Amino acid sequence: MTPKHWGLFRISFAVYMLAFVGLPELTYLSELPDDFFHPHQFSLGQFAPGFPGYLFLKVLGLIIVFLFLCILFGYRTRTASIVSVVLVIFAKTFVYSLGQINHDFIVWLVPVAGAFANWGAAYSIDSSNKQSFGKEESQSWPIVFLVVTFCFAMALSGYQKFLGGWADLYANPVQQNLARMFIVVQRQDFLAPALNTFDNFFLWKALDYLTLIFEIGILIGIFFPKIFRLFLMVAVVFHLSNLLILNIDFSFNFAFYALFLPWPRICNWIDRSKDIHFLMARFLTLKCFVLVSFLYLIFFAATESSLVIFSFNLLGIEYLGNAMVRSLLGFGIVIWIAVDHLKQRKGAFLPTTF
Amino acid sequence: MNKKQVRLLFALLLGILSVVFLLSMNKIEPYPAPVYPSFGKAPIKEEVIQINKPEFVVYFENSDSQEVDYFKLFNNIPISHVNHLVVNNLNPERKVDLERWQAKPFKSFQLGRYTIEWRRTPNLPTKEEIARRKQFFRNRITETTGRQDPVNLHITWYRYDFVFGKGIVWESKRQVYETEINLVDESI
Repeated sequence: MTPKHWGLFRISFAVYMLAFVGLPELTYLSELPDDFFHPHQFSLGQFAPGFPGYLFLKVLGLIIVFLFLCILFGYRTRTASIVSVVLVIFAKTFVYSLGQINHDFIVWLVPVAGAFANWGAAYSIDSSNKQSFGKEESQSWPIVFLVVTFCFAMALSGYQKFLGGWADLYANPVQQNLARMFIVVQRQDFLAPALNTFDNFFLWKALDYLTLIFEIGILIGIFFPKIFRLFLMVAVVFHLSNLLILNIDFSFNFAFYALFLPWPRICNWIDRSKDIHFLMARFLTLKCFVLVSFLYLIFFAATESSLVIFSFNLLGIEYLGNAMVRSLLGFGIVIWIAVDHLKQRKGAFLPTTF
Repeated sequence: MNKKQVRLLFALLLGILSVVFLLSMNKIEPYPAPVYPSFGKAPIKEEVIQINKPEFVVYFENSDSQEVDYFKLFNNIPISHVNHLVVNNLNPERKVDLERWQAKPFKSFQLGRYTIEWRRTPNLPTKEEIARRKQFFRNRITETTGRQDPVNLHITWYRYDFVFGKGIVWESKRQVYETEINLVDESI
């Protein structure tokens, strides 16, 4: 990836996290009694006496949002990327001390990889301030680190499922999980009610096996970037299916998958458009950064939500509706890539290197 | 970074992933760690499975009572954490207690004459902690029901049969255990 590709990805990542997914809500933790505080065994939370206070959490949340705004505008990008991840992991230590870990680690590793890759080298305030404008280099090796980590986690999950008996012909884990989530966790939307009473051995067993094949098979992607990209396209469909059947939202992972979008093609389109260049030059300035940061911090201080989630909540669309919008957005992009790849037949959308 | 540094960094990554693998095989999920959920063991399919579900009933000063959906009661907490909050804290069978804590591996290790504790010893809650817990429930109930006078939160866990192809059989409901949280006096 060139500095321009990294720059465009950096902006897309920050916009998706700030405006769509939302950065961690924290202040509700200060209301919880400390005997609800059960940090995981190997976690920083073991050293904390309980949940932090309101002011601490409020300020922590605002600092994280400000650092993501720095990433968006490319202002002191490297420092902001590393510090934001350290603070998010610290903050989430308390969030996950209620017992549930949301498994969003890969999203928070992206800024670390970006910092090593020098993702602030183009389309940023940093790059416009430097005399070496346009001459800075970026690295691609951090992508390999992310791919190895992601594939490891997926394959480990698949291997544990295999050890847990998912391949057993007489077990039906997906169906049993649906039943438990439907009743206990009240995940009763989309296709869940219809499938809750649907008992077809072949369908449910096929879902068990497909999950195993997908999670373990992704290891091949480490060695074949094109196959990895195809796996990611399947992953988007997999997450959409999980949302429809089990009402589990994993659309935050799209922030990582976006790294594998055809950035050279997207960059070419942008290069051809003078208007976009003009807008980018106007937007990525210190004045604009200060103004947008000020407004967004006020918004976040008041709502502790993202722009899209807050707007949808006003329209009566809540948690799962938001997740569905993000999942459909990801699905739409996958369809667009697949169609364009078939039209081009040159492999432009599915490059053979990371 | 030069090639040698990148290779060293890669070796470090492989080392971290190996540790995560070993911990995962011992059913330990550290945080932060590159791990996705495994959903535990897959039980052999039976015609009927049993599922536990709690019901929350609030009693007020004038003896009124009202059933409350716990997802509404805890709607200040992100939805994905509510079930864990209820199961870990308001379920007599799963509550973190000293006995369960003793059964956990890697509680502490000796470093010379120092003992490094990896896991906090669960103690009986202090008076302040009990008061804070009660205040939390009172606040949530007032916000959910609009009533200022809750005196008791009664949580009853029921077991239901789930028949594949039919769904849940509501008539199979039977009580498993119950918890009562007195919201007025200072006792546990």
